[in-house]
Amino acid sequence: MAGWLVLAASLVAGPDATCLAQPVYDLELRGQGFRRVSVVLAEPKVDAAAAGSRQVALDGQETLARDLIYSGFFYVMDQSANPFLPRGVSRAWNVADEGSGERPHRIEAAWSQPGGQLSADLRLLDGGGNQLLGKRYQVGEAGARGAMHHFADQVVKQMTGLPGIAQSKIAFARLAGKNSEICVVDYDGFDERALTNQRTLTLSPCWGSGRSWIAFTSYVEGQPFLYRLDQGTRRLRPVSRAPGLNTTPDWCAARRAFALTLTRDGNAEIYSMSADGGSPKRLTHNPAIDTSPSWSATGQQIAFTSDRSGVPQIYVMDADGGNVRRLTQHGLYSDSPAWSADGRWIAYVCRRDGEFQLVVMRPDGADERVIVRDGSNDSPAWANDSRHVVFSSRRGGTRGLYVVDVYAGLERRLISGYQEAITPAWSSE
Amino acid sequence: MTRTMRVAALVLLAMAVLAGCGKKTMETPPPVTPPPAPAPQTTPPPPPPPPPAPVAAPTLNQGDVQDVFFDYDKAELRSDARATLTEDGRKLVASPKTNITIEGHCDERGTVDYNLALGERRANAGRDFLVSYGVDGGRIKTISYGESRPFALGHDESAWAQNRRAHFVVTP
Repeated sequence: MAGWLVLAASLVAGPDATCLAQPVYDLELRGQGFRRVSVVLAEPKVDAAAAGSRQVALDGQETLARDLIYSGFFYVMDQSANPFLPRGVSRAWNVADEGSGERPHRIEAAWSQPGGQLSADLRLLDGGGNQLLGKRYQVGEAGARGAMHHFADQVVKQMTGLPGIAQSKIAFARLAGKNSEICVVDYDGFDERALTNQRTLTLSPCWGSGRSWIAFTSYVEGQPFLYRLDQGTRRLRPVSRAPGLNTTPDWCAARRAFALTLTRDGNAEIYSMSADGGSPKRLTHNPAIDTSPSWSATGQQIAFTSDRSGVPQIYVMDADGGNVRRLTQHGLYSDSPAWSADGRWIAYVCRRDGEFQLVVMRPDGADERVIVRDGSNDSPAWANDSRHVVFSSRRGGTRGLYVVDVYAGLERRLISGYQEAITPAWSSE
Repeated sequence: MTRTMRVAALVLLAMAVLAGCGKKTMETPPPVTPPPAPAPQTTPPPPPPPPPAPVAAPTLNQGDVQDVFFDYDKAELRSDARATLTEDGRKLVASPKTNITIEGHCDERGTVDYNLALGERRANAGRDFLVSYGVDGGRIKTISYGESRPFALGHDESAWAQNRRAHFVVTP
């Protein structure tokens, strides 16, 4: 059996409900003896000089709790040993694994105001009270979120050896009437802001290395061209303005190259090109629609969608376009492959019984598992931890963005607002 | 030759004959200066008559070129689409000054990435038919909007069927 078993799932009743698809977690992480680490988040100590910043300290504690919970690696308690529930976080996300009886780790925060500058001293202690991490952060008018995200990533790295995602951001297209603009939001759903104001259709943002720029398709010149918005200078540069489509960009940091869809040859083909659109190289040579490329992390292969069999399916090819192999054999309409940074999974969406399900499979097509069954899902994008995926989902009629923990089978809604949000991209840093 | 000039010529001839008959000391007759020709008229030439009105077909209006519709996930032209395109082609051939843009559209149910390419395929299907019919390809542009610019905003088949189309825009 190809792993299509889906446990009798409750319909997603609300944005924070658990999706009981057969989680990858059961086989992957538990098999390695992985359990969530229990940690107590102590009440912040705020000394008298910083008393006016007590709310900043409390908000900071909540941000830190949310970051640890959203990493998927921790069970977070308050100092009364109750599960810590930050605003907007579902209970289902903060659940203890069966313990070994170890004493929980502990995070302490001490806020002071030396020389008039608000500072937070954060410490991570193990169950025996030994300090594992200690950092001092200066907190300015922008608030404590940046400092807390940074510390959370340090904690994740310390405890698991893996990269944290608390400082990452998600870009997406927010619809506005018949147009759409590129927006960015912190990975936890806070601080959304618009990056473009072009009053046209813009979609499919794609992060450059180090968040130095965002590329996206825009109809601002009347045709779907590819542009790059540099974050430092805020300059907008054209990258590709070939006749026809210049769409579905994906950036490979290892090769410093885009893969994208061009229809200049009369039908949709995948091309690679440099960051400014130079050295375009055609990779696919087939009259079918070939689109939606996704680089492997090393840049040696590209997963993509092709309907050369008559139905769109997921394929993979080498970076030079050779050695094309079909991965999905079921013949169900499939699109939007996304390759995880650790190289272990390709996520994509697959239409079954009229609904697009979010699925993962191995890079050779084996071991396929449904991660999200309901809601008509599209455009998955991995976080750098190779564990979380952001995607768009049409629930209750309008499309919004959701994040799923592929290993735990947990979902959360990313952003609210009545205007639809589509084509998300998760920054690597 | 005008009459005056003919008279003068005869007079000259007569005098030349007489000069040749017996009189040796015939004085050379004074040269006859023909009277000056009448000064040319300085009135402007009459305006040329207006050219005949061209018998070209009128430029097409937006509603004259009908859209065509497609089945779900398909870019093939159904027989009703072919009939519509034949009529569109006839009008376009008869109205050579009209240019068009063909927009390819999809309904909301597919994926964003694939629908952009499918929309392009639908626009191209319309274009290829018209070019085969005889419309000059230079008059036709194409663009795909995928599922991003639906005509009908509902979430049922009647709306979806409206959105799976090649939409013709008459461009100036």
